[in-house]
Amino acid sequence: MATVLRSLRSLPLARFVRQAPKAQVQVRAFSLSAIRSAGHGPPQLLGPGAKPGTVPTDEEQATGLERFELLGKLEGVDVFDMNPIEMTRMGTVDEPIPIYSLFPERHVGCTGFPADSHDTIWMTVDNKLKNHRCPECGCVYTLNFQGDPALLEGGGHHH
Amino acid sequence: MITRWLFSTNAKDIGTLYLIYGIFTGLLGTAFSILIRLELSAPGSQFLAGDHQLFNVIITAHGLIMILFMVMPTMAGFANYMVPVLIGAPDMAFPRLNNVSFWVLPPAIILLLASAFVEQGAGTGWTLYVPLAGVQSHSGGSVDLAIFSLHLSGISSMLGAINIISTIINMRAPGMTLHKMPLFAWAMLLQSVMIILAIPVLAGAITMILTDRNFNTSFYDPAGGGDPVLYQHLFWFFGYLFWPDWDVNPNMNCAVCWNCLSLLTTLCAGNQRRYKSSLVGTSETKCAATFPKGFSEWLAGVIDGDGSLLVSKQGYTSLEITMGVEDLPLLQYIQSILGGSIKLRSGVKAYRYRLHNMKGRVLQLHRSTLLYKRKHPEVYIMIIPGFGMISHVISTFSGKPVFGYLGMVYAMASIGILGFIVWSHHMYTVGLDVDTRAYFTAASMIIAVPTGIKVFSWLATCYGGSVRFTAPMLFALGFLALFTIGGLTGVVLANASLDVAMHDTYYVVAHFHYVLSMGAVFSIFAGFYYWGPKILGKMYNETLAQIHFWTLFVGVNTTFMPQHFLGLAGMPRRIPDYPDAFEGWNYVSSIGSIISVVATAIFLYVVYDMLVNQPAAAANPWGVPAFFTSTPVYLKESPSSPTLEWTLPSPTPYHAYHMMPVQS
Repeated sequence: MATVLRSLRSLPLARFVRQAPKAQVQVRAFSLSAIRSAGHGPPQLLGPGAKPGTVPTDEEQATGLERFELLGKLEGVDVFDMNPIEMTRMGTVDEPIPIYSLFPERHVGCTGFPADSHDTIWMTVDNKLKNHRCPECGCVYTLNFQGDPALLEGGGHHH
Repeated sequence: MITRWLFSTNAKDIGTLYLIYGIFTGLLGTAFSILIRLELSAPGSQFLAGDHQLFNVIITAHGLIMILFMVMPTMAGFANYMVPVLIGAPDMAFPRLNNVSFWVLPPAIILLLASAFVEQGAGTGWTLYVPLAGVQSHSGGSVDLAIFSLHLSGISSMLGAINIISTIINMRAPGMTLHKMPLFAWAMLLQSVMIILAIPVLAGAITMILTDRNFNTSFYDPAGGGDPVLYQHLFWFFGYLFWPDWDVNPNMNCAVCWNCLSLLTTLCAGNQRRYKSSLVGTSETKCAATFPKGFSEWLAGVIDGDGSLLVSKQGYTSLEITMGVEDLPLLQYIQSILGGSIKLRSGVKAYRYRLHNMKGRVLQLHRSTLLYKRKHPEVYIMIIPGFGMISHVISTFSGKPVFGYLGMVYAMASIGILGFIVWSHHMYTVGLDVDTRAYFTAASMIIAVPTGIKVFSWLATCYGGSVRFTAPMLFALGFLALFTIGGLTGVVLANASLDVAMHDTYYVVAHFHYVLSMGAVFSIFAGFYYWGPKILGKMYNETLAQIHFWTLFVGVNTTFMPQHFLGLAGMPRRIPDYPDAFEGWNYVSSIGSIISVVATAIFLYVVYDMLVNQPAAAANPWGVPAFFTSTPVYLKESPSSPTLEWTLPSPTPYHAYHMMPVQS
């Protein structure tokens, strides 16, 4: 996610994005402060909004993650990849199925080749082993790590 | 601490809270059940000093606590913890709503317990039937508090259901279509839909009791044009107002109401057509005293067998009894008491006795407060999550995928749908006409079909598998055997003709305890031993857990099997005393409940032992290498499993998935 965000910043999206106004000091109850400071908020993306008297479009009105996804789509980038694994072939030791991940591990459900050949078997595909085999059909998967390299060293973003 | 638990928006924390709450309320409900069994351990007054209202309060509390405050929250606990994990979601869809869903439950139980301390307590039975729950029978605030308690618990269930549906529909991992979703997630989805459809009806029904009690409405009061049977229909589900022509055909719901027949006959005897006065000044007590109760009961039997209550086109109602000529003396006897006329039927050797009544007066017959089984969709709301858990457990410990996955899903869906169209099988004795009873008998028995599909699919899952008899598997197999027994007695009770005899007897109590105490509760224990290591991160002591199972198995069977015999012998439920003839089996039953308490104590020790003494649980403590996997490879690989939760460490990390899981 972080990488994609960074890469999006370099795209010519700025014209769609109105900079969020500078944070103002607001009076907030102490009890709320504890909750607010406990987590991170979503990206602050704000659209231009609708002109007075008009019905806003999604492009004008959407904010936050929804806007992020929308802007990505305008650029042809599927920022939240919600597609299943494409099983166009059987993964082998020489040519394993790559599993895109921004973290050093991702859980993968294998249903064999062609897809749905067997009941789902879930496994953890991580960077510790090069190949991971489905115990049911033998299909091989490997991690296609695209995240922050610091994560591989156990550092990076905390969770 | 407060921020972590009170303000928590994490599904796993909230799930844990639900489970803790379930243990607490389960113990509370068990305590009430022990009080019931102690009082019933011998004839006469045993422990409650002859305070029969107190007995009523205790059975009410036992029922409400076990159903609404133990089984449902515990299922919700498993759902909160496991559903997001099973479908690869980081949390529930509405985490703050989730927090609210849980935290309205403690006030709910407090209100319910508080109701016992207001005046004489709510001794209405968990069904809260009117007029017993009305202000004449339960003055003071106790029933109001109980109703508020149900409101809160209903709000909790509905918010939770909204959350679960949204989570499952929107937040499944990429590639996980509905038909690849684990069965427990399916079960929770279906249960949540049922909750959303059923609970508002209950809420409306009890709110009307509340306004009847406090604001002079008369939804359920015949004196103001209401109808107590309306409550039964609403309670047992959305029925009455949707029933065709309910308001133009009083015969549809006119009752062969045993005690109230005297009311009818008093009002119309000898002066049927000129009857004009209202009911003012007439009381059931007075009417009941007019004729001996035995006569009314006998007459009710005669009407049920040979008579009918008819409605003319003009809307007049009349009672007709047709008998052979040899039975003329019987009709003359009825005529001598009630008035009316006898006529020889032309062409057949029979006499017809006829007693006319004015339109609408027959509706007064609804004063019955007959009590019966369970709110219907509620039964399936409680058991369907259990079905889901049992499927996981049996599949895991048979080493096979569950047999007939899609069949299982659609069977659950069918049960869920059918559960909504059988509500009146709780009401066979309120005076439904024969056609209605025939329909509800047929519909109720049809539920046995999808239930049978599930039971046989579970058996087929075991068949040919390498079965491991661990504690969760024992509970699952116990569930299978005993739930089936409960289901079979349910088929017996689904017959209106048989149910007229069994209604409100201990046979019904035995039936629904087999379905719930051994169905829902066994599935909860199966779920606990199955997922407990995943949730708590510690293994349990297998020997102790199996001792727990066998103790509970013996306990519940000893408790409830004899109740079948008592019911068949005619012992009524919800009565704190009984004739000496029923002593033997009641004593056995009470011994059984003590055994169950011992089992519960063992369970508490198992939990303590789990938290204090046991080693950490592996990520997949139930995993075994697949047939073709070499042991070195198996040991080197991260665990694989048919469901996602076992690929995560134990206990499940606070934030489970950094990257969404993905499947083909």
